[in-house]
Amino acid sequence: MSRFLIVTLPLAGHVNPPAAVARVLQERGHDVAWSGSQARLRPWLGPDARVYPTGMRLFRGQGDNGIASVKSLWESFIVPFTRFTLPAVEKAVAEYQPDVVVTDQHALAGALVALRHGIPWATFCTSTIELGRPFATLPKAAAWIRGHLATLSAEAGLTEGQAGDLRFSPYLVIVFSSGFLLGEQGLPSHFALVGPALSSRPATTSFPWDRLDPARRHVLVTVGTMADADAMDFYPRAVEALRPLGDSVQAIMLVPPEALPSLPEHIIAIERIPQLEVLPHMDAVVCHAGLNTVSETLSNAVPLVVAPLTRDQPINAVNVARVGAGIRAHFYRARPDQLRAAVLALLSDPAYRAAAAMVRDSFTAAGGAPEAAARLERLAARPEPAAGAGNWSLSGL
Amino acid sequence: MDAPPGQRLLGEVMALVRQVIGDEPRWADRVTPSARLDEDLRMDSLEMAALAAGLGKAYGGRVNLAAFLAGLEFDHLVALTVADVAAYVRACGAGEGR
Repeated sequence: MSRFLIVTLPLAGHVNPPAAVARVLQERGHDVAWSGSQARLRPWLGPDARVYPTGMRLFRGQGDNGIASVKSLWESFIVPFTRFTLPAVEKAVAEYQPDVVVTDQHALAGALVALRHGIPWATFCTSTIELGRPFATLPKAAAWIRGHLATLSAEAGLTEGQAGDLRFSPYLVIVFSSGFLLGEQGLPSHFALVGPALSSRPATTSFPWDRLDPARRHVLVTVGTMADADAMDFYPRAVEALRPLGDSVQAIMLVPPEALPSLPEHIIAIERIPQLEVLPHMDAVVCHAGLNTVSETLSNAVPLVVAPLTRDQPINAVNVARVGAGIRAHFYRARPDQLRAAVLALLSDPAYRAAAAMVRDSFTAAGGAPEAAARLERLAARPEPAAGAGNWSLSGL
Repeated sequence: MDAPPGQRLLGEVMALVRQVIGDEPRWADRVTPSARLDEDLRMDSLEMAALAAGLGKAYGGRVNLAAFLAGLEFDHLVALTVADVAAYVRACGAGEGR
């Protein structure tokens, strides 16, 4: 039996995949504890999980778009969050005495503490923003991020040689996507592209199943909650896109019903759905290309219209379009007629669904949470950095 | 009276940006010299590629937007405006004396 400490961020997308892996580890007799915000993690992890609290602070700068969003992600979130949580993660490691620290790629305190104490550690990539190399052609932006990593390492008393690239463990990097979807070939062997770790999350939300008409096709529109004034008209544009299609299409829009008054009969506004249960019944999904929704949708071989906004969403959208499993749209500028044409293309051309099925098959072959757990078990049994991992670097990072 | 070359070039670059992002007034009206390509105009990678191609076509191979961006610090990339692009084109010695 081994002891794994998972260090993560207080965001659903950064907790659900590790939670699925943790369940498999526990089923195999291992012990798992968490380091993170008690208040945020507890509802996702349940009453029995052992959580070493880090406290919680609000960080600003979550609303930016495009490349500005990557800059604010680092300077307003990753860097201050790392400094804020470092003492608590130190304490968690001292008390729990893990055999392996598993840290989210952007919860850098986990990497720093593991390195300080010589504990084997692994990285969870719960987003595609680093592997997607958004700055492959913008070397000074990439260098700016490396500068932040160097500062954090130095503050923690680590030399550059000791720290390496805090975003990628030299022991094991678990990526919750597939090489096929990411377009990644030939990554070093300590990269485990395991596909999404979809948990059997208990459905806590009900759904009006009787409203789904089996004679029509079904489209789910989900682009999150919109704080930004420019973004708020996405749903109205989607309504206009789908309005003429009532004979053959029913749409579900993930938005509070009061936000979209007087909808036609075939468009249902509903604030929450049990997404994993609903997706198998969908024929197309319109989303902003967050990794969770993209992964869950493609796991059901459902094609997508991807209208990205921020962070790794543009990378996910490019990947979906590259493999032919969907169509890119401009989040702010796509007109209703363009959105309608994209949805109709997904519904009428079987090639999109076939490509989505290829992604699903790549996920299945990648092994998911059980494969991630098996790799972590192997690391605990033989805690050595991968051969050559110290000198290894991805071009474009 | 003709506009001075710098002004004319700025107008041309603004027209090119509008061509790339479409003519809907909500967005086209935001294309001003001080508009930031990223935060204000929300130009995505496809649109940036289209702008690069448009600049290359209009002003010749010396104008290489991708190479210009590759030389910029992160702060400048985020804050890059329409006028900055026009100034770069001008610095390439393109778009004048025609």
